[in-house]
Amino acid sequence: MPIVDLRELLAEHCLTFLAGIPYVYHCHHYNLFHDQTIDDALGEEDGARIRTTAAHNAFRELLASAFAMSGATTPAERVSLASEVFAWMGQGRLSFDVTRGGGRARSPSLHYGFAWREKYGSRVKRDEPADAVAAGFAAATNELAFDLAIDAIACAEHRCLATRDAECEFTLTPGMGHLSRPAVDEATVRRYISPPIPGADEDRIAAIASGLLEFMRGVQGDERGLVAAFNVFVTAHLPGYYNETVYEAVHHVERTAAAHVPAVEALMREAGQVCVFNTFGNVLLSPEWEGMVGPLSGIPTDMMAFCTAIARGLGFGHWLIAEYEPRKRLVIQATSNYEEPFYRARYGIAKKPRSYFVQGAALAIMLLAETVRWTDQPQLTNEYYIDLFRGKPRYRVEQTRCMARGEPLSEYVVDAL
Amino acid sequence: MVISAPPTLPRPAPPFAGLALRREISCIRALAWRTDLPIATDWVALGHALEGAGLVRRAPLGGLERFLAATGDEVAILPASGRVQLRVHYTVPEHERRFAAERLFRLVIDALFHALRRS
Repeated sequence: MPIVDLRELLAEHCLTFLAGIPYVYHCHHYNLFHDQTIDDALGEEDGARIRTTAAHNAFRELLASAFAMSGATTPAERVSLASEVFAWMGQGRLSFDVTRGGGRARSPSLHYGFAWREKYGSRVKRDEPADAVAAGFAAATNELAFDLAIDAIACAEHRCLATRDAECEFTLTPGMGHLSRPAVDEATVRRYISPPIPGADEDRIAAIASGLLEFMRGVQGDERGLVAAFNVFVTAHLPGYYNETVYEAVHHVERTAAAHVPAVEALMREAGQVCVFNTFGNVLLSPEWEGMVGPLSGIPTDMMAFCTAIARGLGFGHWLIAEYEPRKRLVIQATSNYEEPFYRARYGIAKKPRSYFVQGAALAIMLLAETVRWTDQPQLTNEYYIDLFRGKPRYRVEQTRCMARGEPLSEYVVDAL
Repeated sequence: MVISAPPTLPRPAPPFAGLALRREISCIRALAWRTDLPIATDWVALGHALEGAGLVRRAPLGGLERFLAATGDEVAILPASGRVQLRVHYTVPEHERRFAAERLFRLVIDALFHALRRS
């Protein structure tokens, strides 16, 4: 079965699935920042452990389902299909030499290591490998190829492009075993989302989002398993990975250092800002956008509509503009997103708002729409990001409703300070 | 007697005098470059000339025309605005990207003059 036939789109909810498991698109700026955020919250060692475990769990869910749907039964078939799926996602191309007792995997081109070297390599020296996602994926592949229990195999990366090695190399060894959790699949997601409702500028947003969803359906990894698009490296990625890392990190800090929770939550929100600044920004400034939608007017209401459409087009869920008052207030709502179904399924009803990514994204949408002079073709550099987001605060965001708390939709209110 | 210089009209600029290669809006180092062509360019002829130079036309995306080189580099053209993006493949080492972009730029200019001669 071709990989593209494993895809499914819940069009009305703007949610995408691969073999019944949710996936979304994120760029390398966001992916690298997300991983750094987890390490900042937990420290490098615990951060790497949680990231590898989350990737292991997320890819086990995906691959188990993909193997079942495509009828892959032998180890060779399964390893081959897993490698193709990983490359199709833009995560890189990994080759395996494994038995039921473990083995090795290697790659000259993995998304995280390659993109880290591109972004930071000439300025920063890194000592720790960058590919926890590939390590988790490799462990899941090795286990499922031989019908082994979850965490029967552990994987460690010992050479990495990001640490200036020529290739990434992984060692797979027998693991310790841990409890399996039910997959957060399409049926689970459906239980925790609400029927979509229209927002401001709905027709235009829906039309652009539809075009973008169609465009993204044609995006897939090249012969190296990487996707260069919109001036960034793009991945189809598993919300299970993002969510498990974020919530495990936040819960850990809540248990062990409650005074630091606001700081950690701010870090998680900032990842949403980074996504909107880099991913949304580069999409908006790309020739592809100009070809599909037209040149940017820079009018704030246009930019908000465009950002909402991009969120839907990347599979982030049905976001809508509920209210907007120029330079004062923006209210974004979501009847579906990729964070809260996971939270409900894994942790039950939340006691407080838990949609950190959209919180940060909503604030960034307001700031980018009101502040950036888009018609001047700005360079979306790190310096510009710092100037916009770390200077004098202009807006604050509060999540006032949350589906993870059992409410029918999520709401994010951005107010001018 | 004062002889004033005759009034001068600005000399008409050659049609492509303003062509220049510059960095495109990009967060990845030196991978995306840009030039802007006159909107009046014969885009159909330019497209044929790029194909004649060995580039492969990809499916258009709305108003965006895309041409892929054998090296993996790409030329993206927006006839409505004249914007042309030159994309160097990410496997080109960073210190060689500017040269790769210049080669693409020259290829586009050659195609442009080829198209002009035929129109």
